[in-house]
Amino acid sequence: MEKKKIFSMVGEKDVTRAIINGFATQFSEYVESDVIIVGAGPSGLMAGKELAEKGLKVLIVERNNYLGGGFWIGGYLMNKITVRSPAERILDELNVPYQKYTEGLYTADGPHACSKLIASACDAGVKFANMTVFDDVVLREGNRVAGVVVNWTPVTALPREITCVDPIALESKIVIDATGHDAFVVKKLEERGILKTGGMGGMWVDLSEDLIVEHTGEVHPGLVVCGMAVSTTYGLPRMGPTFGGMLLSGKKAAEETLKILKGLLQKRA
Amino acid sequence: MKELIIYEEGKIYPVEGERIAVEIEEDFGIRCKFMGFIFKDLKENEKRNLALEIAKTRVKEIYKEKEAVPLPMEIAYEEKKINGEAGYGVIYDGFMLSQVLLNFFPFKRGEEIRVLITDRLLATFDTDMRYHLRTCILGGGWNIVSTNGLIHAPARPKEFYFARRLLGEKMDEVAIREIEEVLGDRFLRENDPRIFEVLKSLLLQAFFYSGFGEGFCSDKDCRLFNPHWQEEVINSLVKKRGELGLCEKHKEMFYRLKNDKN
Repeated sequence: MEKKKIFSMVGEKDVTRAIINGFATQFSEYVESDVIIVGAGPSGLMAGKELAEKGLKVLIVERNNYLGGGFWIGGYLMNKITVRSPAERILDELNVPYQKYTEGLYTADGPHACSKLIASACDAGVKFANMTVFDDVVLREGNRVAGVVVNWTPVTALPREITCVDPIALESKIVIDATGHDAFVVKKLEERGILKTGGMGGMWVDLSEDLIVEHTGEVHPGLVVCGMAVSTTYGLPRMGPTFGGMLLSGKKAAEETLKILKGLLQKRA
Repeated sequence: MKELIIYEEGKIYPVEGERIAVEIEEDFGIRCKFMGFIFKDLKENEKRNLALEIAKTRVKEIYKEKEAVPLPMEIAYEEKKINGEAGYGVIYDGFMLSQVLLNFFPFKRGEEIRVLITDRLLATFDTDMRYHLRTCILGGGWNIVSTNGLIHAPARPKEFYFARRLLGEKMDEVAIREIEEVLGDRFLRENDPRIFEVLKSLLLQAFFYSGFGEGFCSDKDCRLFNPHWQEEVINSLVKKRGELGLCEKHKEMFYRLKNDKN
């Protein structure tokens, strides 16, 4: 008697077609989104999750293959992350177990927290373009940011003479810069003379994460900045790995984005 | 003798302005008045103008001394602070901020010494071509004393920095708290009751600066010592030694100033 195969009989060509069609269908749909977030670290993922939960079409562009940025590990490559109160409430929302270390300070497993955050963003409906590097901004009248120009990440790693690969543009109503200290999107506007950033503040002030949250918001028409990109944009003091600030900043970026979109709708009406 | 007039803003750790004014009068015999929140009488348009001017004094680049070009969010942040909302961490050029205060709140410099006690972090550009955090800015019009500067500007005990170097800049909060526990009361923290006495010493320095153009002393046991380490802050500005807590030289100068101006 012939042994029953565990997996169904599918040829290589079918696998390839499935990948191409799946990718092309989704990518074509997300060539135009409500919000494009550049960077899939904790603040970008949080912003994406919150916006997608409100029914918005959200695409997160990430230059790495993996999502989560530095959220997998805490200080000194140790995979315990810390959050200060009230950010433990977000861990509650994400259903991430945590321990109280001292009053107002909590620890959680980095892999658990990060994977739950990624899963929440996916569950909410966020789509991802990973291995995709931000190249430039799409500008409209009045220099309003209206999308991003992207390319494959590997293109940036190859010698110039064999990489004449033009980028492509994706459009959105709002772009969120969640690229960390690099603040790539904001810096691109600065390169064009549209905006002047502060540069990263050199002095250490241990409790500056409040500032990151308070300064999260629209930095230029169509462009919201969140996470550590806020620090670079405004030249705020440097600080250690404080993920609570990143999560709350992502949440605030989503709130600010919703306000802007509401304003845009009213303007059109 | 000039009158010491104190204003406050922001989240001030145990300052208790009224009590500090009473103790300055009782301890030193200096006329002193606490006026409360500095921005309370500003009109809306004045608040907006002031917010813009304060935003320009932000230190954005540690190695460059220049007026900042503020972004809208920064001006909005300053407006919120002018309206009394707490929030700190932004670093301001102390001398520029003092000048802004003088422009908006001029006073008779021959009759008064004005001091703002604030939660803002202050820095000055030094001869090594970079900004350094300061606890206070004396002279140049308004004197400014920073409660958060008291916590962040003077260096903590050396062990703290050895640990930071060992663990790298990514030393996490758990490690910071453990090191802080080991260091005990060797540095000032938020809500530290010793801040009250430190503020009195800094107000005395403002008084001396106004009288002699110099507010500091090189004697570590004098209240006018300019500390660079937290342990020096505690030794010089908290612990009171002898009459007035001043060295012999400054005690004599203090009485001369009082008698001359009376």
